[in-house]
Formats: sequence, structure tokens, C-alpha cells
Amino acid sequence: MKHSQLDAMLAESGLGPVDVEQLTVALGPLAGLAGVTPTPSAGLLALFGEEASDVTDRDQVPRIVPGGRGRGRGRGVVAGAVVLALSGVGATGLSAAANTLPSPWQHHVSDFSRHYLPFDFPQPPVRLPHLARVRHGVKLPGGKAGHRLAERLEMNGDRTSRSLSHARPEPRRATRLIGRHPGRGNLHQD
Amino acid sequence: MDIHDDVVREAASGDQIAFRELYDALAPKVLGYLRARGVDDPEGLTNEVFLAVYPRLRSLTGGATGLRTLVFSVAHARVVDEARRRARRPVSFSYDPEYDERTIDSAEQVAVISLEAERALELMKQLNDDQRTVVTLRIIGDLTLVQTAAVTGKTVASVKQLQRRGLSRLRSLMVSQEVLG
Repeated sequence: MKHSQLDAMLAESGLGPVDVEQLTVALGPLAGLAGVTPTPSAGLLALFGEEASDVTDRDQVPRIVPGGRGRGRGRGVVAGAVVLALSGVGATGLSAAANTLPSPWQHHVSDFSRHYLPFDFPQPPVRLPHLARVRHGVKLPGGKAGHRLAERLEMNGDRTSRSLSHARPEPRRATRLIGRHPGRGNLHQD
Repeated sequence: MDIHDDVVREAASGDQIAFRELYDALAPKVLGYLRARGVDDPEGLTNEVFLAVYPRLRSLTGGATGLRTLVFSVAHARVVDEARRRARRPVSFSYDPEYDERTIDSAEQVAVISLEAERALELMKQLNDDQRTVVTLRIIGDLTLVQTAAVTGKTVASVKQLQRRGLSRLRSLMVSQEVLG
């Protein structure tokens, strides 16, 4: 490695040859600090007429910025969002378990739990008299039995009660039901 | 890499490729000088030096010699500013990985310093600031006696005296280290 200015400086210092030799050995390696070309910043690249790549952007140079909360703040926002989401889910679940959600929501949550969860949320309360008169033409018993029957009738869409041993049939009405249950024949009745 | 006067002239007239050539030639020395002087962010400061030099190219005189003097004058001024800033308001804080925004670990940014260079830097710490400045500018900046005088704002005679006393001090330290073993 060329040590032109080191040699010149030593020559100007008036030191003896042994000292010059020892100092050349000791200080010569300092020139090695000037061996690396630093990555130009984006601003410099613009002056060079070059585009910044992912590697050469100065902003990618590792620097510790005291007081900065870049990623820390981002992590806090995500954690907060997760907590809110879980709180919302938890609150909905509690309401669903207590059967206090609005009826359509309770219905959806109950269906979801029946299909995907190991436990069931209760169905929303059924308006039995109206349901029995308009849809099924079946007078349903009261209490829990009536609830279960109403559920089954809703699921199956079957207005006939003959398959349901605990139901008492009412006189048929001129109603037309829409829909066909596989294996149960045409539901249309006049 | 030597700098030619015509490249300096072209860069001064706005030639971007010529300016890039000047950067490639001088940035390693500026970086080495700033590292030897112990600044916090030598790479960042090197970029700042050249960003500061660019608008002054048009009025530059003295060709390649003038450019070296200008570049290292700006670099030296940054070193002095940082030293003054530290003296006024020393900042110390414990490391908290949450605030560490480093995203990549570029191999180019890792300071690969030889053991011998580290020993030399340790020796240089025993000099006073003016002696250290002069010796560093000569060895790492590869500046002549005249250029070093221009950068530091001192006379040639003062620079010669500083480097002589600095080198004598270094030699004494090396001998005493040898004696102590």
C-alpha cells in the first residue's frame, strides 16, 4: 500500500531511520481505514443521476435513533386492535350465550355455533302463535317442547305434523309453501 | 484513485458522471478520516460532506488540489461541530431494542478494521486534538503539508511542528509499551 504522505511526513519530522521504520509499521495500517467506498445516500444518487435501489438507499443504513418509536408504535397499534377485536368477540359471545342479542343476530350466531363450534348458542325466542298459524298450520305445545318443535319445523320446512308424534294436527289451510325438501316430496299443497 | 483536473472541471459544470468519479475517489478517505476521529455516524457524515461540497463546485479553484482541500475542510468542520456538540450536551442513554430501527445489516457498513489499525488508533488517542487532526489528515486523507494547513486553518510551520511533536509522542509511547512488555 502506498504511504506517500506518511513517508513525507516522517521525512519532514527529522526522526532517525529506526524511529521512522517503527512508525511506518505502526501507523501504516491507518491508511487501510480509507479502503471502503461508503454507500451514497438517495440525495447523492440523485446528483449522480442514478436511482436508489433497496441496498444503496441511505435510509437503509443502520442507525440507532434515540426516542424513535417506529416499529414499537406499530406493534402497539396492532396489539390494541387485536385486543379490541377479541373484546368484541367476547362480548358478542356472552350476549349470545345469554340469548340477549337481537333476534336475527342471535339466529346467525346460533347457526354458526351449531355448524362450527363444539357448543351451541341458543336460538332466538320463537313467536309461536304467529309461526304456528302462518307457516306450519300446526298447533304447537307450549314450553320447551314447543320451542324444539318450532325449530325443527323451521329447519325442515315441513308443515305436516304426521312425522312428529307429539304434535297435534290442525285443519289444513289453503297455503302454498315454497321449497322442496329432498326426499320428502313436493311441499306444495293446495 | 487519483483525481484529474479535467474531471473536477466537468463535475463543476454539472456532469453527473464526473461528480460520481470524484465521490468514488475521495469518499473512502473521508470515511476513513471520520472513523479515525470517532464520529458517531461516519457513513452518514460522509454523505453530508459531499452534499455540502456539490453546490460549491462551480466556484471551486485549484483543480484536484483545490477539491481535496474543500472536501476535507468540510469534513474537518463537521468533526469539530460534533466535538463541540458533545462537549455542550453529552448524551447518554441505555440501549433499548424497541427503539432500534435498524432494518438491514449491510456488509458495506460494517467497519472492518485490522488489529494493527486499532492499535494505531489507540496510540493516536494519546495525542492532543490538533496533533491527532494533522497526523490523521496526512495519513488517511493523504493530504500534503500545504493542503493540511489549508484544511485546519493553520500555517505550514504550525502543521510541521504539530506533526513532529505528534510523531515524537507516538514513538515514545511505542517504546514505553515495548519496555513494559
